[in-house]
Amino acid sequence: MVEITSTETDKRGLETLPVELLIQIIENLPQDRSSLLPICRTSKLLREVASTYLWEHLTFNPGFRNKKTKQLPSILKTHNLHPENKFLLNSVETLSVHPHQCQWCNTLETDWDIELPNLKTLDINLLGYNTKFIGDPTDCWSVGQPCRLLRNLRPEHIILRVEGKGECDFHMNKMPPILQQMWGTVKTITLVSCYSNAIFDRFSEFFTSTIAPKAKNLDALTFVFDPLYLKALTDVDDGLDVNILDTSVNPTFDKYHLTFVAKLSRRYFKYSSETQLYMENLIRYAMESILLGKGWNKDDVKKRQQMIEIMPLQQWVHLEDGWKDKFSSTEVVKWKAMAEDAKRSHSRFRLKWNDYKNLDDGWAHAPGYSGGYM
Amino acid sequence: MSEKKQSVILQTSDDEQFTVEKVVAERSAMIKSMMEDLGDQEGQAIPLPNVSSSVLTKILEYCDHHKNEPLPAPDANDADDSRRKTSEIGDWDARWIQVDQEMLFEIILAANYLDIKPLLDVGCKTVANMIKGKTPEEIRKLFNITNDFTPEEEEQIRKENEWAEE
Repeated sequence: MVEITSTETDKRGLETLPVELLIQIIENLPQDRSSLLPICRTSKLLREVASTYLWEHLTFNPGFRNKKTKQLPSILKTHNLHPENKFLLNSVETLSVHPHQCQWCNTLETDWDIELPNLKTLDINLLGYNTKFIGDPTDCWSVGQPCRLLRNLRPEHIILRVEGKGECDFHMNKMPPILQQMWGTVKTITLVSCYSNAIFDRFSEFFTSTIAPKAKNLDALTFVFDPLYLKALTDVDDGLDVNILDTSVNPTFDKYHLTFVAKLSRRYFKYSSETQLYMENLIRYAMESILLGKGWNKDDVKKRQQMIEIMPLQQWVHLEDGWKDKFSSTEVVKWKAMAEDAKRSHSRFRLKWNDYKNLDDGWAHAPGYSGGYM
Repeated sequence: MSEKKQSVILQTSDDEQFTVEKVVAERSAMIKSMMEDLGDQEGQAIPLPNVSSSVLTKILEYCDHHKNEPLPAPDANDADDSRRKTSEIGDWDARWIQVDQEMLFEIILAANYLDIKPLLDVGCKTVANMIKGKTPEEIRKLFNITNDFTPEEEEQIRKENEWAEE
């Protein structure tokens, strides 16, 4: 038998727990900054354990116009890092820059191009490329200045956010060239926006000219129609089906798995499976006629249809594959709340399925459809 | 069935012996595998040198209450993210775990040693809930933690995490 000489004076306290158990406790905290930051400031031991969780999702809000610009964390300012701090950079899995602006990046007082070896997701808000807010954005990158924040990053997932109705351009000369270098490693792109024709047109154009030729590893695109953006806009929910259809038959997107995530409420969608089914059937039917009309054979059309998913926001937020490792838990919580809210309050917009299912040329009668493809 | 209840003897660090229904003891994956190793050696006590009788008494209450629930899959991935999922603590568990801090940490340690995953989870969630929404100073006070940062270090940490401030 092992002799146990216990020192009964040592009382059990939080800090006497082995690190593996401290880790489990911290993993049970909400994984957001307001929960993790205080624990990092409590003591050396807790900082050591909790910091990597805090730094998993690194966020910069450079701000623009009158908003106060936040400083780059001092430890990012030099490549000559204290070993203790290197592990923080290694912890970063998601970097959010809201909005990304090269003016800000290029004034960074840093002596190196930042490297984040374990970065999985880069999440950028494109508002910073909007001439309306910051003057001519091409000034800072057309002269070939590298973006010191982003140029060495090689993310697998890119999230692009467009907050307005599309004033914020994907136009090539408004996108910093440096961003174009990273498409090679990207596997998924998620566009978070409201649904407006302008955004779709511009994104498609930008995708064709800039992303597609370089993104050799890309296999999935997700379009998330964010109700938080929609809230501020009143007239953009018409024609969602047209937008989805447009994108689905756009030859640029032929090779990719497409997912459309929408709040599916308002006039013709809500959270009943039958309306989702209606939406899907509508799109599939229309796709089929369009693609057959373009000379596709039936099997290819079927294959293509299988690569397209239409999903209510509510379903998507519970489907972890969709957002895990990409979106912050705080944001998903917000979306979940919005989805729940929509579920409660939109019953009056119930679609009358019978109104549509017997139509011979059903999809062309869909509310909001006005274009022609044949 | 006329068969008498199958039981097992557990011996704590302070040499107390507990005769426990097998179905209760099996909540502990560690005891379960030891019972399997011992086979039919009736009356053989299983030593638990890391668990005191007061903690074991408390834990057996938990195991007894949950004895009819399905056991978690033996290979439930340790590194799983499912633990991060915020499933709530059940009402009974929440009342049961209202104990002083010392006992709380003893329960967590014992749950880890005895390998009772759902219990470990309840313990860790309880501590996490105690931490949630508190300032560093409040956390230190609650858990009697000494602030071992020098003022310079505090300033450095403040700078390093400035981005995370709301």
